[in-house]
Amino acid sequence: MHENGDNMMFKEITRTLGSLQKLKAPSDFEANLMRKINSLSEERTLTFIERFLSPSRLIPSTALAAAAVIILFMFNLQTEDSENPLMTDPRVREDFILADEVALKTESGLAAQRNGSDSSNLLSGDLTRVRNEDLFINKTGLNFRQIYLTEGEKEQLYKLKQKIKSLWNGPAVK
Amino acid sequence: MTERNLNELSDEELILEFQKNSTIRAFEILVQRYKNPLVNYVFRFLGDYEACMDIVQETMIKVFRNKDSYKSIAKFSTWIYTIAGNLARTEYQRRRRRSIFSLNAYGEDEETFEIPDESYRPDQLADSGIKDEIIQKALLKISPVYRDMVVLRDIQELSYEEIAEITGVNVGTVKSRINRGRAQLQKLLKNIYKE
Repeated sequence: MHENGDNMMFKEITRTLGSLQKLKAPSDFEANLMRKINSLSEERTLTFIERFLSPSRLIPSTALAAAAVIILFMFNLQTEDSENPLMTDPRVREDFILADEVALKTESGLAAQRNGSDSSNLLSGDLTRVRNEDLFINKTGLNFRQIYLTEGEKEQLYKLKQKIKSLWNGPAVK
Repeated sequence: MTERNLNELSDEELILEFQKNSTIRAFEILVQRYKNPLVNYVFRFLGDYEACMDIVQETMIKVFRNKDSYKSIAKFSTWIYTIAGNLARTEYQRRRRRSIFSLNAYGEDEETFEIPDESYRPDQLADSGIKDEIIQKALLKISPVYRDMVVLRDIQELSYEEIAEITGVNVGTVKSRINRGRAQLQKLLKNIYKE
């Protein structure tokens, strides 16, 4: 198989290398080889079964899964209980909402009166009903100082209220 | 297919038979044909018979397990020599990393600083066993890049084209590396030629 173009300079060395003793594989080479191949294929099936069934793999994976479930459960509990105050809307008192609605209605009623339109029903009907039913806030249970008036003081206060009322409603109420 | 028929098949036909029909006998015939050439190749490269046997066995196992990766466009001999060569080079590098001190540096262009072995008398050199040992020692002293190709060319008697395919370099590089390797060997073996 040698090509003719081999360098003549190295004729001696190529001859020397070519004359080296040829080594042989041991007689049991094939037997050893086939045994190795068979054992490798057996090993492969064993590892496949081991992957799912052997306790050495099953126990740690089960423990890991259980730990993960516990951590998830605990995390979920925490998230249900705690609320981020920055993320939730503040609670609004219902009486404030009503007071706002009344103020709005009063403003629109006054505006209508100034314009001379026929909106007296709104003022005398709806507004008074709202005032009578909703404007008066129940003060029981509120933590502030209450002043108890005498009968004379009450009468004086009533007169003052009537005066303010008459001033507020103008000649139409009179 | 009968035993006689299988023995008459070429290497490429045998591996195809093994690929298509998983005929174990076809694989065994290939092992019979290549075990000795591969033992020679790997031993001349590594210089260790035990390691050489392991590598040749591993090569055969790789052929057995990866039979489908062989493509019929290449010669079977080229394929199996490539596998064996890769394994041998890996083993050589593993050993080299382990060794603490070595006079020879790995690499194509690096110089060797080996001293010719003059410990054998001329009358001893007449003994072919001793002569083989000296040549083997000299082979192990040259750069592994050159050694690989010198062994494939001058001991395994492969063509330059086959060596180029096995080693993955072009034919010109193969030729120049072989000549450099031969020159290094000649320098190391000058005592044999004095005789």
